[in-house]
Amino acid sequence: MLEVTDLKKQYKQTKAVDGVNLFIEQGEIVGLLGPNGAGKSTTISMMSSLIPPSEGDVRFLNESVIKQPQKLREKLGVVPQEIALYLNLTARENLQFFGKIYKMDKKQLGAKIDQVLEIIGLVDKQNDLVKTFSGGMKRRLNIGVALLHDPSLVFMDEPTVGIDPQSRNYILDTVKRLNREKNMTILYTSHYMEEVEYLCDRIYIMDQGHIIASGSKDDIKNILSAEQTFQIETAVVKEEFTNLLKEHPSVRQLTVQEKTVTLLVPKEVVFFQTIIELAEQTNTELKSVQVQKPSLEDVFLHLTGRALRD
Amino acid sequence: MIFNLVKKQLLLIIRNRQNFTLLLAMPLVLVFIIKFAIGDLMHQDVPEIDAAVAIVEHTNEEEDIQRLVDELMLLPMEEGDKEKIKNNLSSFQPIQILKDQVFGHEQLKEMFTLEEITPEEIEKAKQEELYTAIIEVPAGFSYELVKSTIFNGKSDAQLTLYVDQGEDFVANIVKDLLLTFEEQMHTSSVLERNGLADLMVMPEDIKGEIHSISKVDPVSGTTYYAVGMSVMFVLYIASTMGSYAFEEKRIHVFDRILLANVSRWIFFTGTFFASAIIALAQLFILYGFCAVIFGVHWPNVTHFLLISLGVSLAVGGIASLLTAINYRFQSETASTVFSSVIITVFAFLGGSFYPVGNLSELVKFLGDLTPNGAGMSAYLTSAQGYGFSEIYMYLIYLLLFTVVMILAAVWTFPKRGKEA
Ligand SMILES: Nc1ncnc2c1ncn2[C@@H]1O[C@H](COP(=O)(O)OP(=O)(O)OP(=O)(O)O)[C@@H](O)[C@H]1O
Ligand SMILES: [Mg+2]
Repeated sequence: MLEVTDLKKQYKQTKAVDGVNLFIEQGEIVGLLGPNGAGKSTTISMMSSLIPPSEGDVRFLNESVIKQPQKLREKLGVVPQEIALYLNLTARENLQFFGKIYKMDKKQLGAKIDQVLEIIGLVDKQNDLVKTFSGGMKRRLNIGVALLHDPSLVFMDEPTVGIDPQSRNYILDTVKRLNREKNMTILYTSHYMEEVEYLCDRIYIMDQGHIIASGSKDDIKNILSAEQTFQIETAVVKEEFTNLLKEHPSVRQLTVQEKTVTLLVPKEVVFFQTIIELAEQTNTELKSVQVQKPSLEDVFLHLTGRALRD
Repeated sequence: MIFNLVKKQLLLIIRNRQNFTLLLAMPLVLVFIIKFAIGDLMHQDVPEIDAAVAIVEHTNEEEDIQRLVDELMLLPMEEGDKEKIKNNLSSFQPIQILKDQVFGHEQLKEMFTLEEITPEEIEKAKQEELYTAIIEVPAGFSYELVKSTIFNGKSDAQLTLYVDQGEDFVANIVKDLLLTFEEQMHTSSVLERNGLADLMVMPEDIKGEIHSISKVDPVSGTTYYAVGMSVMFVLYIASTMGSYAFEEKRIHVFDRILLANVSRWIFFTGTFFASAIIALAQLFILYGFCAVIFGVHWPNVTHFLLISLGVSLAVGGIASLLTAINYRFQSETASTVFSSVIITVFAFLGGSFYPVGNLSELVKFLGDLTPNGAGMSAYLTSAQGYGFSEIYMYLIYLLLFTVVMILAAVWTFPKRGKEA
């Protein structure tokens, strides 16, 4: 349905996007995962024809979007990372305005607005000014506006950023429902692993302008199949202890977060005993040691050597 | 589509209480304050004129003209022509014309009382400051003047004017009046147009000047400041709309509009019309209040509407340019500079605070270059009851200004495929 080849965006000092290749098939939910500044939003802007790429091409149904953006735009809904709404208009007025610029006729639009309000759960609030909305309500309306013209392809750029868990779950379920019931194709951007894990069939992981891994959830987790993750909770993290762990030939990755030390170790190595020995050696009091199933978070850690969120 | 954009903009501006205060309440309060604080001062600046002017003749005009006729008769000419010249010249008496047609003009008669005094009385009159101005006609004045006019030569014939220092304003009017009069008398166009045989002054030539003198027919202080504040505060629409448009860019609503396959130029046109329409609405509301509260009325409603339209379009033009600059440089600075600095300068030059145009020709000229100044001049001229011929150049200027603004805006506005 949509294909991106060797996409690049060079700003004066920064290479925001540096050679991205990706594709989206009809009916998929594709995840684009990456930390702050990875280039996700820039990629989406280029894919939706809003900013011209420095290099590369975006093709929608086999036509270049850069030269002929109209066709894509008719079928595309974009949920921007920012709340792109008029705060001094009511929810309904916003929907009306954005519906009308899609040249929808009045009757059809009225029915469509009711339907969208239903989907995003704002029927009761439709006549309130958006500026009186909670963060979660604004996010939902931000999504609703992108659904008015019945797009077959929707880009969602971090649609759950900065909201309460309840609203977040509502949004995630809505996305899943749109995909299942309306066969909407969705590109979902996030830096929350669990969201992408929950929603997506296929995943691209992006960092510093590059796609560093891609494939189905399982494909990506298989990157780690050769490794196991240990999570060690301690009373106090001692530097001698972590240094010894780091120096150990079997340890691939080590991160410390407060009192938790996370390790990546090859699967075949029996490491449990080693941890306990090193702890005793350095007088480190262990609270617990867990062996973990690899998560996407670990994949990211494995690929970049950095945690996804600081 | 454009209607939809305009409607949304109207809704947004109405919903914002800050705008309401700045755009409607503030100018009205200011007019109110000014009306009671300095409204009366304003009135004293343009007093009713009631001045006494004396004229002294060191010559007998009839004899002067007769002398000229006698000389002309000696020239070789056909008898018929001689007869004609004789008849015409006997009615061409400049001083008589000055007395009867200029100072005797209906509008001037109300302002000036002209008294004839003898040369012996001059000294006394000067000392006792009996007259605002004394016009002295030197010996042989009419002879010199008419002769030089006929032979198209230069003449030294000049009236002498004494003015009372204390009454600068009125004295200046008399001075202007005499200068124009002398110019008319000297001017060869009088001759070319009418031929020697029909030599006479067209009263219309002087009427223009008389007309402009009667301009002192004052507008009331209230009207003055109602206009001054309206044309100043309508400019804030431009910066407000520029900021609104930039806000749409900042929060990515503009992206949404583009994604709906709406051309950026339609959005741009929407900004122009929304600004012009909101400006027009603001002017109507302000003048409506002024009419009801302060009794500011307009002699010619059509002209009033045309001027308001001209001003509103100019505001639309400025709004478009500010929007374009804001988009180009990805910041709101243009709007901020306009609302905090440029409006104040424009308002000052345009005369919103004080009739600065009276200070110097240059200031007046600069003032009329500002859209608010041109609008203000047009409103005030119209308020004084002048016809379309006196205001159309302001309207043309406002349209021209609008066009220039739009062209500059189109040139500045980022095109598709560029950043922003
Ligand atoms: N208009 C611009 N001019 C210059 N640099 C830019 C511009 N837009 C983005 N960048 C830079 O490009 C890089 C990628 O930014 P982008 O917004 O695409 O990241 P992101 O993955 O969406 O991050 P986030 O998760 O914070 O939204 C960043 O380093 C950013 O500073
Ligand atoms: Mg982003």
